[in-house]
Amino acid sequence: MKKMIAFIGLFYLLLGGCQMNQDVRPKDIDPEDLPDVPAFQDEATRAFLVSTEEVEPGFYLMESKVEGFQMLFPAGGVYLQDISSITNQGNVETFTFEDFNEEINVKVVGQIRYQQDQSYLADLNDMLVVVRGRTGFEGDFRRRETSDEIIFFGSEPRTFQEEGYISEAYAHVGYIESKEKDFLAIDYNFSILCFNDDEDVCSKEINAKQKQVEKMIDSITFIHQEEVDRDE
Amino acid sequence: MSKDLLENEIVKLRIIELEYTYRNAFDTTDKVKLDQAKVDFEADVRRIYLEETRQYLPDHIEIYPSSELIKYNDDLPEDIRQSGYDGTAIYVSDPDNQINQVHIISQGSVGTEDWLDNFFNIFLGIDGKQLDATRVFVNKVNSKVPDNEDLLTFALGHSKAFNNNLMVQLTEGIFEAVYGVNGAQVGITQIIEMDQRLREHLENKFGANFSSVPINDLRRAIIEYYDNKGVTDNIIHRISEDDPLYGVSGIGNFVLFGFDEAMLIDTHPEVKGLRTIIDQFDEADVRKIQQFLRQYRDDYQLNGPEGFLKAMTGIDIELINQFIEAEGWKESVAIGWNNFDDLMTMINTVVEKIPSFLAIANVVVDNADTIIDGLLENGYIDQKTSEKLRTEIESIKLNLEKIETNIDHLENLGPNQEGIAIALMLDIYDNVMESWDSLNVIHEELADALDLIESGHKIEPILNQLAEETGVSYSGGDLHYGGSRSSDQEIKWNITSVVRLYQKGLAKLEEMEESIQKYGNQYEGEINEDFDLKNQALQRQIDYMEENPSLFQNDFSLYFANRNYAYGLGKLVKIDVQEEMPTPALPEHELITKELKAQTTVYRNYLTHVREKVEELFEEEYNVSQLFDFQMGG
Repeated sequence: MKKMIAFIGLFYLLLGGCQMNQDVRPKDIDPEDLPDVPAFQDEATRAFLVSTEEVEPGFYLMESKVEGFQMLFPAGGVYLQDISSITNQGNVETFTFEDFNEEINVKVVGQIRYQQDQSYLADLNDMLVVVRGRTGFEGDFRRRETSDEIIFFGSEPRTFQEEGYISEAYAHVGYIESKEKDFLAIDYNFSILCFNDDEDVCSKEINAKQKQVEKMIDSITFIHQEEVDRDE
Repeated sequence: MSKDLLENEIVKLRIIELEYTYRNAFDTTDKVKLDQAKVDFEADVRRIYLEETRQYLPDHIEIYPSSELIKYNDDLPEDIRQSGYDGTAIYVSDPDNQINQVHIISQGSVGTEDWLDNFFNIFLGIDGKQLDATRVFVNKVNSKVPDNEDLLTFALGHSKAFNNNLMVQLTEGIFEAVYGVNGAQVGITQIIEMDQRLREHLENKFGANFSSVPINDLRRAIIEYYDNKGVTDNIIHRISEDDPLYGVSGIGNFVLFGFDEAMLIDTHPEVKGLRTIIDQFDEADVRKIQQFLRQYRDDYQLNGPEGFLKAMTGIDIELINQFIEAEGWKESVAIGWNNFDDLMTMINTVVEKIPSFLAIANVVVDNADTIIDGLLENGYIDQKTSEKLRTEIESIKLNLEKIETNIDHLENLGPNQEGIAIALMLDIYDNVMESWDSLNVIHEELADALDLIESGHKIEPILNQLAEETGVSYSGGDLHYGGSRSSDQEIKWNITSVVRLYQKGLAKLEEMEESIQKYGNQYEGEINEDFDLKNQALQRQIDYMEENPSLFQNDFSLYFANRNYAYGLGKLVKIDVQEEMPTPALPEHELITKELKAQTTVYRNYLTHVREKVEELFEEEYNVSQLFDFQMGG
């Protein structure tokens, strides 16, 4: 073994090795060379980002670990590992993150749950019950259909029994069923929380955040295996 | 709380156990087989209820296995079919007594898992992973029952199933009561992940940085939230002190819903459980291990032990194996050349990751003595085993030290020393693999202890412990009564089995008697009556011949010809048949059937005798005659 190693060592001495140019993912880049925003500076979050190119001002493209879905991810967003998970033999992925703007004291907490090949996904009406259970959503769902998805969505203000740090809150929840493949779906929930005492600030900022949240929701798309294979 | 028909805890436990045993029978898409399994299941449920309470369940019962409501679909691919919830709903209805309830039994066995799985589960907790599937099943049951107005739903579950049921209850409060046995506790992070409203509540309560709140405050806030929500009133959890899940529940990351010390029970007096051992761990150490494992749990889920190893240490086993399996230096060089970048990247990653890996490995190894001591003291291993374990731990310690030395070398290499780097890398790989082997040896040494620990998780020991005072015991799902207590040896009668045999015996007897009857009838019909018929036909023929002799002239011509009469036949004028037909006596079937009947009588006497004896022993205390008389369908 050692002789072999010596020979190898000799070869590399002579040839010096070469660097090949590849498409490098942010997680393999030195953080110093990455944008100075939480999404890239936090090690765990970085692993989900596809490239350092802003897709839209303040948003980067993220891809789930099981390569099930992609979404626009905010520059200030940070992945919450403790309350995210991959389960059911890698068929279910829960991706939870928060985007906290300390200056104006407004936070968005988002959770996207990708599910494939689970028999409980069979019936859409059952799944709406499930979504209501997980989110406490009490409003009505609206329905939208595209060529490859059926989407149920809704939003409502949230109030709290006790006085606390939050002065205003809003929730967006929804369920996306794939039309391209059976037993494939995503459910999501977003909470917009304003910790600011100033009511006017809260109203204004929550409105602004509504747009951002809607943008993120609209960007949630399934990644189908063919696309992945094509890219490789 | 309104009346829970299954309020007897022993009934609950036996039905949970029963449901497990029907797992395979229910897992079929063949409707005929499924229907039969449902009939059998209902009969067993009624029997258990009678054995325990001496009362009868209402007439109207429906059984809904999950395979019927969710998985019962031939078109479904097998892996999807198997992905779902396992469980059965028992619907009971008695309008006259205002009973309209359904009992949902979720299946939850923690299957045989390797030591790495167990390691994860101990530190990060087991969650049910089937919250959504459970919820969907409950929803389907609700639509399927004949009458879902004022329907009470009760949830029962063992192990992971308790966790699933509890999650549904906490988020939606739809159960009248939740009963669990040796259940997997709810994790703090698990429940925060699951419930959006809870997340918002905690943010409101603690402010934007609630993740830095001390665990105990967080736990208290969570319990308060659900208590105020009104969903925690009827959670009952029976726990064995020797259940490994209970053993780890003190580590601090759990919220113990429904915990009641009075519901703790010592099922294995010969050991002292794991709780005292695990509670001795340094909390800070536990946090470190949990933190570390949490980072790599997803990699383990997705890519198994090798993925876990690679994520944790940077070591890519596949890549290294290519090297090791190369034949001759030319091939090694070729491999090295082709994979040069990968190799260098791997080495860099290893240098980066190994230090934190070593830190955790050392924490674990440092605590190993506590564990070994604890296992020894609590009766799980003997002195010899403990020494073998310590030897392996020593070997691991040595390997960890070697790795540290090698990493130091690697970090201090200059440029263009890639060859040495690869050599060091291979050495590190050897060290890691040796440690991994040691862990496997440790797992083997612990095999008996692990069996013992595993049995602490089972339901049967709890049944037996609960029934201990009464001389009643359970084995294999059957009820046993203790025999004469004056003798030194305890003899146990398997009452369930005796009753089953008696009833089957009676059924067999009936069959036999029916057969004998049929035999007799058939004999009459085929043989005796037939003989008479043939006899009559023959007689008619004889009469006809006697009355019409001339018609038979030709038939006798040969006879006359042989008599040497003048040719020209005479005229046949009379036929007189001597009709004595000495047939041998036909066997009289009466004798045969009598003999057969005698045998059934012996058999019947035997069954009656057994029943009498059992009643003699147990009637006073247990009213067994009621059990003997009970038959499905009246």
